[in-house]
Amino acid sequence: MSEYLLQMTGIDKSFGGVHALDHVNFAIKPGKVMCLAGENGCGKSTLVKIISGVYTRDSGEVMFEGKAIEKITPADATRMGIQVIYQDLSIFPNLTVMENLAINSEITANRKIVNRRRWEQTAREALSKIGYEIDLHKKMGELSVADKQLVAICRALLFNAKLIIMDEPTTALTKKEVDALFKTVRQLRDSGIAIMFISHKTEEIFEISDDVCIMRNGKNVFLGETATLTKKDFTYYMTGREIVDDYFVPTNISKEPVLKVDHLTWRDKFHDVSFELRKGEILGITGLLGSGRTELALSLFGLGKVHSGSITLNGRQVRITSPIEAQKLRIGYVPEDRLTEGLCLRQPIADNIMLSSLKQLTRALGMISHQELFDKSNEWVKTFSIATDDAHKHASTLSGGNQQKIVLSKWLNNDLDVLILNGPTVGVDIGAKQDIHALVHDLANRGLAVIIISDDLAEVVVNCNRVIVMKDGGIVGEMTGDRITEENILDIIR
Amino acid sequence: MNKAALKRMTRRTEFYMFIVLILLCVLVQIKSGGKLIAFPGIFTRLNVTVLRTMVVDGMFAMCSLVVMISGGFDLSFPAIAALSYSLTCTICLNNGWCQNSPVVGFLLAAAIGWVLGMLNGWIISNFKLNTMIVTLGTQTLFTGISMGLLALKEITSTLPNGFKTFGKLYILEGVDGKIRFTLSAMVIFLILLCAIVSFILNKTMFGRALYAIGGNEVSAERAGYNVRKVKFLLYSSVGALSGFVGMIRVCMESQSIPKAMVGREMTIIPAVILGGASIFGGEGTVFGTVVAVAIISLVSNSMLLLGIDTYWQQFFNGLVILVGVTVSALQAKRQKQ
Amino acid sequence: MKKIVAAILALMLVLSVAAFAEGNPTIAYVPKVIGQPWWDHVQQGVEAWAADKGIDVIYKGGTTTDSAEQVQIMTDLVNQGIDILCFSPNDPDACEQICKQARDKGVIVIATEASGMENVDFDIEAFDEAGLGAFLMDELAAQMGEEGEYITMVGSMTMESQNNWADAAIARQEAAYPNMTLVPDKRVEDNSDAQEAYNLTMQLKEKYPDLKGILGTGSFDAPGAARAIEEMGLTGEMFAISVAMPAEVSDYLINGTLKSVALWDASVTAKVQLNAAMKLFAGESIEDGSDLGEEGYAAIHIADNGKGKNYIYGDGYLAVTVDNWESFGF
Repeated sequence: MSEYLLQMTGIDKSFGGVHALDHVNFAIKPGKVMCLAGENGCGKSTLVKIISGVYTRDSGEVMFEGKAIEKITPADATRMGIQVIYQDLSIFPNLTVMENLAINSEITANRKIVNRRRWEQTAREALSKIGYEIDLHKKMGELSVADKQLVAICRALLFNAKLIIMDEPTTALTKKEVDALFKTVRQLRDSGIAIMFISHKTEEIFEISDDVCIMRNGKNVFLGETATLTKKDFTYYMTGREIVDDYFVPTNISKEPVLKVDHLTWRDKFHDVSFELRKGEILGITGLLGSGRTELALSLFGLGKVHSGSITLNGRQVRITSPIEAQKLRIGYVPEDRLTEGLCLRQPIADNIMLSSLKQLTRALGMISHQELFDKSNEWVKTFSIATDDAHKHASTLSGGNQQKIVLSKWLNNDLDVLILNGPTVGVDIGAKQDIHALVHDLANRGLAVIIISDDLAEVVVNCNRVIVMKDGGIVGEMTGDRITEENILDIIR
Repeated sequence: MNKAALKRMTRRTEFYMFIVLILLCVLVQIKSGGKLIAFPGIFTRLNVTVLRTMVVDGMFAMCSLVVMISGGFDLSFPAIAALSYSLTCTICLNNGWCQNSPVVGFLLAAAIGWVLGMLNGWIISNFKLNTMIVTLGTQTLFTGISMGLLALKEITSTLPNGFKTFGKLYILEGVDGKIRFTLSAMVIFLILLCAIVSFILNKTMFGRALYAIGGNEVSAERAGYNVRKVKFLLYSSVGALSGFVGMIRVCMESQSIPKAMVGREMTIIPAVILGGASIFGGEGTVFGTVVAVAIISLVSNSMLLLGIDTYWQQFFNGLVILVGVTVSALQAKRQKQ
Repeated sequence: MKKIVAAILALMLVLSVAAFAEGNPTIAYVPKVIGQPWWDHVQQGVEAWAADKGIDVIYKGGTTTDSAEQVQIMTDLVNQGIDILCFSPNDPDACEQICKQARDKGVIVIATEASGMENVDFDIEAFDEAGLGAFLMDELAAQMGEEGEYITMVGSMTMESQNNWADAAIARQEAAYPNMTLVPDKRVEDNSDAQEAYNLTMQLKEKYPDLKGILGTGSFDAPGAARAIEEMGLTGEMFAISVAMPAEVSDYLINGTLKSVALWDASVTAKVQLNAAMKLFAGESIEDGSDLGEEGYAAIHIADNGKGKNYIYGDGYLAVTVDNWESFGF
């Protein structure tokens, strides 16, 4: 028997002439965590779908537990012990935890009648696999993302899983939850299960994986032990270019603050928050989930409440009660969840870019020149190097990084004094991340005041000249220049 | 009952609807001077009438409930029922069938409904289209077939005797002064159907499939359900059931009127939503639905008695739609958070 | 596929227009509703008339008694280009506008069951409304022994004719039957649905335990009420009446739940509408005492409808009882 659980060599797969996978080699050992890394569209998900039997390979060899496998169907994959935990977790929010745990195996066993006792037994057995405890009768939809994930893992374990594939499992988790998840992953690994971990977050990959397979443009460019790899190499393999951390150097800070916040309070969310912001600055606001950082941003943009305290803009005290007013006062806000809050995915790219500046394009009688709209948005497509051949296409056709760029351009189109970015690079590839950061630096140096709200400490350190740390709704620390390091921030937060 | 279970119960729409029903009963009982419930006999002229009204509405509500749980909308079940019973009655009349026993008629109506339901199921499962749009289309198609293509007529006094006598069967008889009242035997069908639907929904993998598909169709497919097959089976069964319920209605009313069902979905579906079914699918219980139908029947049958103008019936129906949809949407929102 | 369907429809439209491009007038008849016995009977009458005279009549109506649907049908017909429009409105007020347009285009407009309409050449009623209301009350009073509580029932509060009959019936009671009383609810509407009439009867008896009579108007009222009366075991103690089709109520006439219902032959009225329209089309005039060619209309009465418009009425109504229902054949 070979030392590998699953070994794939020379895998090819094309979709209508597009080579999605080009002679990919992949191998995973039992009791190891293997990270599959790569930017969006590199062929990661195609490879996963071939392993799980959703797609059939065009050519190449697959060996599972030393035996050559000709064709894999989804049912075969399950039988062999391959389980995929998709990014959406494939759960039923309207059913109870018990039902979510048991339903798959009941269907597989081709049962017709529901036996509550057996279901409960199955569910308890599943939970016992990782020693996880939760109220079985709770509705799945009421659980936190982390709990949902654990339930999904338990469910996968019911099928005597030998290989568990986790598709970007950390996307919606807080740092603490990620730590808990990693603990479980290590526990599974130690019990002899092979884990295939799909991610594009550098830190996580180095923290959790034993081996790593990096893909780019349908080829695997690296396959080997994580320990033999430096972060710099990793980034190079991922993007195909050398990326150096480009620290922000402010060159154009104004004397007078453009924004001044005094003892601002939103009851139960944050309290007594005071700070100043000058033009040309990038101010970082960081803290754990629930520290009040997002709520503070919402209040500055008229989406949150202000119970006491004041906001002064360009020396004039203002009250911001709606986004429209915030816009009039030249404050822009790019939300955290760009998909649900910032973009109309099923509208053309051009329309999305120009959405917040339609007023400028409006002629007599409220008419809008379509040509002008298209021309202007094309300028932004160029400036931001948004990867599209046609701005008439829907925004949903773009990758995460490019979508984020659109959201940014949407706001920059209006002359702004203050731009608030909430988690600007959540779910964005390294390459696109770099582009966005460079752009923000440029904007600040041209005289814009920027606030970055993020829990990605590396991002805060690289991009901000000043950082405010929040905890439990209050400011617990402020640092500037060389004092801004991940260690210093962590010291305050913990 | 432990605390957690109690808390879960109080978060359900059905629970509140049940309280509303109880309060409403008390109100009607007091305002009408004890006409709703008799002691110790329980049954009164008013409550047997309410139960009678509940039979057809309640059975149609079951059709609607199972579809809504699966995340769909069936707007065509009244049209299916109407076409099935009109065609059945015409055939029976022309052939002299069902003069004694209504069985053939019921089988025929269910068979016609089944065929029509299969068309719904075939389109929905094969082309993966929005169920509301598909059934809106088939609804118009079926109505067109019965009114235009076949030009089916109203059948009243010439209705086969088997149907008439069957509809008049009762399981309980009482006298209020000189006035006789009876509890229609059709109530048995309602109870039976509720029990069967409840069993299917809670105790069979098919029933759980409906909840699973309503909760997350992609996940249901990944979990191993044959979603297409389940949907086909669902819509064709609902068709057959609609035909059957339509015949119950014909028997109870002693008349077959092809256009009598037009627009019924607009009172049934809101009732189902009011009973806790979610417009987004995955939620809903037999109990909640029955409670909601009971509320609507009670209100419509006691309005005159309480001195409320019949115009208010429309107002009340509108209110039911608004309240039901709002509650459903709010619940979905809460679950999303 | 779409194009083929569109082409066929267009072709049909052209052919249908061409078919009427002869010497005869293009006539349209719009009933209150189709697919319902009363109006099926009217349709038969219209078809018989058309076959008899050798003139085509477009018979087109809605599948519900929705007045918006009816007005839409009338609008389409007028725009198609017709010479004569005969109809029976669900809501007379709602039809005024389209009738005005039609008449402005030179279309001859003849209505029935449309009392008080302004934009018509003539409104033809089988009878005088007050007369029918009084007749219904006389029949009901006789059944009730001229004493006890009663209520009136209509298809809908917007159906002007039915409400006028009910008003006339109440007037008759006040004048002639002092021992009868109208209960406080006065009038209920059953949406022209026998099931609703049944439910209302049940509820009314609950609210007014001494209720003895239901004076219905539309053809659904008596059958629905009779079913409730029969079920309550009150045959011979509680009574109902309305206009109704003999075949629809034969069961109740035979078992005695209903003693009588009122009737006029609506198919005859429809033929009279068509005859009157043809007369006007030929340039003849219609005056008091004119012969409109059908039984009961040999010497018609013309009266003012209160809006300066004339309406014509015959001596149409009669009582249907257990003894004579079979002789009508519908």
